Amino acid sequence: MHNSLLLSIVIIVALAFDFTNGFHDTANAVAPTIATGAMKPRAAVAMCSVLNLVGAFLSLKVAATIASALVAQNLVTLPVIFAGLIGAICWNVTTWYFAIPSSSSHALIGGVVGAMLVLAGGHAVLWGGLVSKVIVPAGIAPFVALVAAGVAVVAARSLTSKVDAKASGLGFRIGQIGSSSLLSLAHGTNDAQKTMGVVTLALIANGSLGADASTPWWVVAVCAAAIALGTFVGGWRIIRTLGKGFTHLLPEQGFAAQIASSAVILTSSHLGLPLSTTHVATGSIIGVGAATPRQPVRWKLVANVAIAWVLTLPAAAVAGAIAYAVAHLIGGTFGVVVLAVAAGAYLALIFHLSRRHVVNAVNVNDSIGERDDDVVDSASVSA
Amino acid sequence: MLMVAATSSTPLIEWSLLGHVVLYSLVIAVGLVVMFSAGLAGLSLARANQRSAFARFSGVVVTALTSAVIGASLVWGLIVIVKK
Repeated sequence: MHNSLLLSIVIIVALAFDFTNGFHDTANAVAPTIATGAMKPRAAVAMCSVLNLVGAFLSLKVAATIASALVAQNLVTLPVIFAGLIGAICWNVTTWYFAIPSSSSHALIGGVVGAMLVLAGGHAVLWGGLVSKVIVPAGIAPFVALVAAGVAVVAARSLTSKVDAKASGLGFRIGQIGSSSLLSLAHGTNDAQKTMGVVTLALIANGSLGADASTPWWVVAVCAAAIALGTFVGGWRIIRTLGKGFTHLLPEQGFAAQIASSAVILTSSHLGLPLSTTHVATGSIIGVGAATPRQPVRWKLVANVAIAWVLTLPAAAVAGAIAYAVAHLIGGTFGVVVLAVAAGAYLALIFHLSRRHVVNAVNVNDSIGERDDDVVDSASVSA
Repeated sequence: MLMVAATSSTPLIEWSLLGHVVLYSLVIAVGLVVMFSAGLAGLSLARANQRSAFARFSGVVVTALTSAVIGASLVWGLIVIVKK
């Protein structure tokens, strides 16, 4: 049962997923803050990173992991966890390249389900849970956020219509820093825990921990560090799509969007139906744009992102299934090593391609289509 | 995080839970933005020299009340985060 090399590879890949989760989701908390000038890009991302780190230590209750609750836990093996993570990382990095905000949680779920389907067939997957707790919430999340943010921005505009524009702009920007902080903290608590659960499951599957063991402190520490580092790197492409791609955000819009996102995420989590941070944050931004007269929303980009959301589960599942099948075909730890190297090569290729059109802290606030070398325009997103 | 725990006793779609999520999310999101905006309007009123003393006092009261509500909401948010 014990296989130290395989376990080490799985843990490294889990931390790599945590890192991609961090930089993929930075935008959810800080994109409007950066777009409206409430904070400098680097400062916003640094604040988000620190709060993700703090959030990861705030709640250590790994109540359930994705793998153990969606699939037959007794069938979960290290190669399944490995393949699921590979599927999720590949989808995360691909959507990052195309500057598409998509759910890291859904990518991980898809990856694990795909690997399990190859290992044990359809009976190993809890389809009811997949529908009720993943697919249905994914469908409603953006619409709840869209309506909440839309109504909120109309209320904000009418209540502050007689307030000096400079003063209200400053007030809303200060408010954005608060809401952004809350979102960052919530993200650290949610998403770092997800990887902690996966690593703990790997340790249990390897026989390194008892079935009822709690998460070791070093797992908490490395997962917190990985997500904070990923956040600090800043997924600038996605920040730009959320902050500048859908619509031009004014301070009251940024504030309303972020408050709506915080309220929807925390309320749904409190009621026991956690919604995707990415879907909620995106829905909120579209909502404030749609509710503002003479403020065009790029609906073509919205449609492209919606297509990517629909594809996330099946695409990550296919990637996870292929990863598991290839590793199984080659066989043993060697198969996993070969696949890890292949995945590394794919990531290197994507990173290399991304260097042709760099989006960073300097040009993150350029309007979409303002520069000739824009990679984040709606045309390239649909590519 | 999406924590999944499907059991045979729970329906496929929990409409009641979904309804609660939608309703409470809307009320809290809109309520907080209204409170903050009213606070800004109150602050503006309180600082306007050309207004009457009563208007300025009203502005201070509105700002104080909305600040208290927003502060309480922040604390609630932190409790939800920690308790998860």
